[in-house]
Amino acid sequence: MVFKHNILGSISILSLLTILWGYALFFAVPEKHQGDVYRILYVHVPSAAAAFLISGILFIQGIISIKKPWSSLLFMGKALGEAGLIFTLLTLVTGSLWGRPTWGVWWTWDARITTTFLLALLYGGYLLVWNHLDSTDTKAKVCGVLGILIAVDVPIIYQSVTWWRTLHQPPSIIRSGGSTMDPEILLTLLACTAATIAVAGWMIAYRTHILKLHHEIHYQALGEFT
Amino acid sequence: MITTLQLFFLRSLIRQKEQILSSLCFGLSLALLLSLGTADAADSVKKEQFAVMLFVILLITTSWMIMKSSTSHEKEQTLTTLLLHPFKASHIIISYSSVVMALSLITHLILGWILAVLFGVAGGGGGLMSSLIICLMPYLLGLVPLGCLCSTLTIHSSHSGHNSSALLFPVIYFPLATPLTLVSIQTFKLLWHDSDSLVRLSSYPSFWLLCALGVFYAVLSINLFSQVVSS
Repeated sequence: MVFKHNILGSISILSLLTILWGYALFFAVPEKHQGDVYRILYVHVPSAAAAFLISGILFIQGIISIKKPWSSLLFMGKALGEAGLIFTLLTLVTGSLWGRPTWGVWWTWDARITTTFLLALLYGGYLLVWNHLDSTDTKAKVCGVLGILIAVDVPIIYQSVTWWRTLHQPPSIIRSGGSTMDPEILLTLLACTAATIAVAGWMIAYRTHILKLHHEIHYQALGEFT
Repeated sequence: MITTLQLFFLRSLIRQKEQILSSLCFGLSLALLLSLGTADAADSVKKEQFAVMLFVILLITTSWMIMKSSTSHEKEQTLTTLLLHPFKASHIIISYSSVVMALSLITHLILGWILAVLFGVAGGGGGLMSSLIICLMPYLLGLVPLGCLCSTLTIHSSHSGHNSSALLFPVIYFPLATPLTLVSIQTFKLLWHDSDSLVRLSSYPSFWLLCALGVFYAVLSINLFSQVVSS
């Protein structure tokens, strides 16, 4: 029954994202200056939003797991790290794909891109530390602190376009004086962001569940063996 | 107890002369290559590049020194021996970091001076050496304990039989050291260009941010080191 529930949930969330991405990539209004190239924005911005949101949850998870090293929180931490890394890499790849036709380069050491690259490295480091430490208590404390440090990078990424001279455009959605985007584009973008965050949430919940099961099976097998 | 440990680590680092010498030679080669690469730049550009390159060299050579000495300590099982004596883990990291910081400070003041001569930027409003000392102290305060923690984590995981443990040091250390390096460069540039920098030191927000980051990394690394070692 639970399995059936999970399958139905997964299908509905993934279908929602597919429909929205399909609409955004093929039917949404084209942008006046960039033409169709801008459509990659519907994958790039939601991925970045999901990666940032995950770092916020990792921050809270880090604070709690430093105080109380529960194993379920640890598994959630790993799932958050994996999802964070996937969405950060997706942000970098889509940004690079957009950068080639608009800026003329696949990659530049721009402040926004470099700080996002650092975020990907930090997520990777978090996962490496998680896998390399054996003691639950140490893992909870070290990964908890790393989770907090990862979250600290996000405001730096967001502010990088105003703190340094960059190629990347300044904030156009959350800014004083309101958004500079066309209302239709903004609405589609917000819908895609909501769907991507839902997929991220589903990925994290599912992965945490799998990690818990894996842990239980491992210890059950170890108990039978001994 | 800390003094005994400091003397022990100092003797051990001086005994392995090649570690200090190789990091100094490595830094010198980098300085020479970078100065040759920027020979045609304008004076204002050279000053900007000097500040950035000095701290990049510092970051690379300090991490080199920490990684090298950690590897040799691992071979000699120094940490296990010290913990069995018993010395507290926090005392070990404090004494080791303070010795590495002192050696690093001396090495990098020499490197900084040579690099300034190579770049032709010696002098400046706030005094090169005084600005460098003011920035290096909080920078190394954060950087060295962080390096010790990351190298201990790497060694700890390689003992557990993980194949990818060699990746751990660069993947964690360099991204975490980047904000500290950026703030240090910014503070150094401000202090160096200002003739009254020592008088107005407390009015620089970036200096306080550098101090806060340095103290934060040091406290964090000392606490986590004890946790990692005890596990």
